[in-house]
Order: sequence, then C-alpha cells, then structure tokens
Amino acid sequence: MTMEHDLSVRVGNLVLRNPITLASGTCGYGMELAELLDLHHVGGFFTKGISVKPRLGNPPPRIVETPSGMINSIGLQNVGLQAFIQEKLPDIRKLPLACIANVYGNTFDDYVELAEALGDLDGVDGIELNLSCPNVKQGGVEFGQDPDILKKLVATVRPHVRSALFVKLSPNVADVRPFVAAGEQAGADSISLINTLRAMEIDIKKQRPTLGNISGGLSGPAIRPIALYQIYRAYQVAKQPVVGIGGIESWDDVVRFLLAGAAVVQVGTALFRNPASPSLMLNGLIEYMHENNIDTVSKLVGRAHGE
Amino acid sequence: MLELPQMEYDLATVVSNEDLGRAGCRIRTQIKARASRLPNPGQFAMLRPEAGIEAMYLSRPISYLDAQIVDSETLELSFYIKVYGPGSAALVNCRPGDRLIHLGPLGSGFPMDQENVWLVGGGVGIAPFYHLAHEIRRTANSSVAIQLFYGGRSATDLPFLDDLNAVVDHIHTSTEDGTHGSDGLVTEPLKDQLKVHGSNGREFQIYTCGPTPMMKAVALLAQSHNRECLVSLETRMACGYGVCLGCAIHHKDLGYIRGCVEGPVLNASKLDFSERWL
Repeated sequence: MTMEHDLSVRVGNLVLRNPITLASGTCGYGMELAELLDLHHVGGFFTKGISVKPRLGNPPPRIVETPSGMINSIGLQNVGLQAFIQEKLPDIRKLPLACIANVYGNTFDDYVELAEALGDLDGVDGIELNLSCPNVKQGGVEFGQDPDILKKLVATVRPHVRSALFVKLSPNVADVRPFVAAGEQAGADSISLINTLRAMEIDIKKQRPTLGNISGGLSGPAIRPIALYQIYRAYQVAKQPVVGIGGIESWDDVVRFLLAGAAVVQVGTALFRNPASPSLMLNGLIEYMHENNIDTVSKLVGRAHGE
Repeated sequence: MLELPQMEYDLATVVSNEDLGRAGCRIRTQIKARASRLPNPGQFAMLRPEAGIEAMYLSRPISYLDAQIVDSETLELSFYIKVYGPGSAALVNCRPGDRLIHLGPLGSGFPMDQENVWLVGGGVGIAPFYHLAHEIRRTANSSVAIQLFYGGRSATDLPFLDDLNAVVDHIHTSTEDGTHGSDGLVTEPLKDQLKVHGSNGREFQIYTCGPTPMMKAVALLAQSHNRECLVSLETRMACGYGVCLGCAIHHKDLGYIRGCVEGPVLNASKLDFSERWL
C-alpha cells in the first residue's frame, strides 16, 4: 500500500510544492543549479539579494572555513534591479520552482522601489525583505534592530507587494519574538530566520583578520542549534508560517526544523558542499513521514512544542 | 521514493597515493563517468574526503594533474596535492580504496588551439601544465612546441620531471638552492629565453601557474615583450560552481568576476596584481 503524502505549504497566496527551499546567496539566480540539482525536488528558491543599483561587493578574501561551517563577507554583490528583471528573470521564468526575490535597501525608498518593481511581476512569486545582512554597513540591518522601525518598513512596503511577503530577521538581537510579532502585525505573510551570525577569523601568519571585510557572517552546521532555538521561540508568538534557516545539512535537520515550528526551510551553505543535497533531504523527509504515519507535512510543524 | 537526479558530483575512488616526499603526493582516482565529462587542462575539481564534516567542511579546489578515459564508463583523474592546511592534509592522507567526493570538471581551461606555448610553473602550479602538455601530445598535435620553465626551492620540489621530459620539447629548471638546473628563480631562464626569442615574429603564448609573486613577475615580463600571458589563479572558494561569490577576482573591465566560472584561467593583462589578497 502506498501512502500519498501532502507536502505542500501555503505562505500568503503562494503554494510551494514542498517545504524545502534554497536560501538567498547560496543558489545565485536559480539557473546556476539547474544542472546539479533536480529543481522539481524543491519548493522554491530565494534569489541573491537584489538592490536598486548593482553592487560590486566586498574586497577578497571573502570566505574562510571554520569548525563545521564558514564565514562569508560577500557584501551583497548583485546585478541590480534592472539587470535582474531584464537579464535574469526571463531564464528564471523557465525554471520549475517558485522564485522569491530577496531584496535589500539602505532607505525606506529603496525598499518601496524594489517592492513596486517586483511585487506584482510575472515570474516573481514572492518578496523576501532582507533586514539582516551583517556584511554591508547599511545592509538593511538597522531596520532589523528595532521592532518599531521594522513594523513601519513592512507596513510601508506591504501595499506594493501582491505576492507573498517574507521578512528575514537578524539573529543578532537579544530576543526575536518582538520582531516576529511586529513583522506579522505589519502584514508579512511569513518571517524567515535566521540570517548568518556576525563572526570573524584571524590569520596567525599575517597576524591580521582573514577576511578583507574584517568580519562576516557565520553559517553551516555550526549555527544549526542556535537557529533551531530561535525558530522554536519565534513559533511561540508567530501566527503566520515561519521559514527556518541555519545549518540544515540533511533530512533529519529538516525534520528538526519542522518540529521546532518552521513550515518552510531554506537550505543554504549545504548546497556548497553538495548541490544535490535537497533531493536527499526530500527523500528522507518522505521516508520519515511514511515511517511515522504522517500524511500531511503541516502536521509535523511545531510538534516539538507538545499539544 | 524519488528518483535521484544525475549528479555532477561523484565518488572518486582512490587507486593510488604516491608519496612525493617534500613535494606532496600524486593521487590517482577513478570515477564512473562518460568521456563527455573528461576535464580540459586548466579545469579543476572540488574535492574532499567522503568522511564527515569533522575532517573538513568545504571541498577544496584542486587542479587536475591528468585525466584520461579508461573505458566507456570510467575516467581516471589524478591530482597533485601538497599540504597547505587542514583541508589538503586530509586529502593527502587518503589511501587506495578511500572515496573522495568529486564535483567537476569546473571552470575555464587553457585554450587547446595554440601554436606554441611557454609554460611557467612552480609548486602545485605544475599540475595544469602536466595535464596540458600530455593532452597536447595525446591529441597528436605534435607540431606544437612546448617549452616548460619549472622552478622550486630545491630539487626535491620538482616532481614529475621524467614524465614531463617525455612530452615537452625543452625543460628549463631552476632552484633557489642551485640543486637542479639554473640557480635562482624561474623567471631568470625565462628572461634569457625572452631575450633570444621574445621580439622575433615566432608565435607563442605564455601560461603561468604557481605562487602569486611568480605569476606576477611572469606577467610583467610577458607584458614587456608584448606577449599574451594567461594565468591560472588560485582563490578561496566555497562552492566551485558560481553561486557563493566567495572567489571574487578583480577584473579591470568587468569588476569582480568569479574565479570558479570565469576563471581560474584569465588573461594577465586584465588583472591587478597589486591587490592585497593575490
């Protein structure tokens, strides 16, 4: 007897075929992965952060490996809004998965401009506001440090976004819960967390910081337990689906994040190690559901909190 | 259950690990792959041991030392690896029968339509030239004249000399301690040859791969003789296939480009060797 599993997830007016998605900054503009991963196996992808103008990014070295992870300081290098629409989007439209545009700005006006341009555009199924990049002086991060400012920004952007609106929070705050509540009250369809944690490494031969930008964002399995706790806490106050991100490496990590309260997960740094890893995760998730007699993936979400 | 996709990363089984002493080791592997996946000289693989993330989290970019077709379903890929840090140390320790996670071939390679080439290599930078010289001879392009300039600190830093002698027209070796070839840096014999042949009409290109100060010196020499020079740059990278943007290289015309996709082989005239990270 075969059991039909319902893996679909709804976020706002967007339906993802399954809860496994690809994190911003780790999957380019989608097509880079087309030859390495069967994109039918993932629900959607979040683009490299898009700004109004193109950005060159930070000086190299930009990455360094650390225990069970890595630190990056790419600096939001991207092609800019117009090139994204003209050069990237035509190819993105041909891909068999949802595309959520990750955007960031330095000002309210930047976010409004990006939301106006992308918030109701064929091929862009959602917008993720990046309020949390640790690697640029004004990577939207200051909007993610005060719940009142965050609320005002999301409320300003919301009317321009007809597709699903995700808000990506910073983990570099004492308590994420007021931010989750503020984002949702202002109309976000989902809160994404966590972004990378501010970190650095030092080169003992040169006796200098290893990264050209001095500090960067830590990702990979090293941050998974921290992310899991933040998602557990966010779920306590969230009324909308939570998107869990942070060091997901295998199918059992996916299950852990769902149990903690994530309705959707983003796979990030694991793609660098194995671009096909989301297929293995999906396989493992289905097997886990089968073994535990769970027909609908939503039944797993938040289960670790008890009845 | 789902049908898993055809993955471009494979498990490469270690066939042999030849100790080259101070110079490192040569690792021969086999993968199940068709001839269409045969790497071009100058391309690279992302490589790490199959063991867990405790050993090393990210794969390391390693140039192919050689690549040949074994049969319709098998390729033999070899690598020259020297210990620079924990990642390369983990690779050097692999034993026959161990499996390596292999993603490749990746990146731009060297052109194969050259008339004559001068190859300037040092350290692990000899790997793509070993591959290139062998591939030129295998494709029966015997009219291509290959001059190799090969330098190291000492004679023990110059592996593969016999193999290389069999495929190149002339090897100019140099060692800083004078134990093999000319005394000093590899740029000295290059200077001498450029004095003789540099300004005459004979077509040749200069390719270089090795320590950055060496590549910089070679690029400047080539420029002063109006010769095109291609360099193969080594950069830190996380993914190897164009998404992490960790391997940014500053290109004079294009801004930051990706060392893994647009590189690693690039025209030296487009690079600024004064940058701190190089």
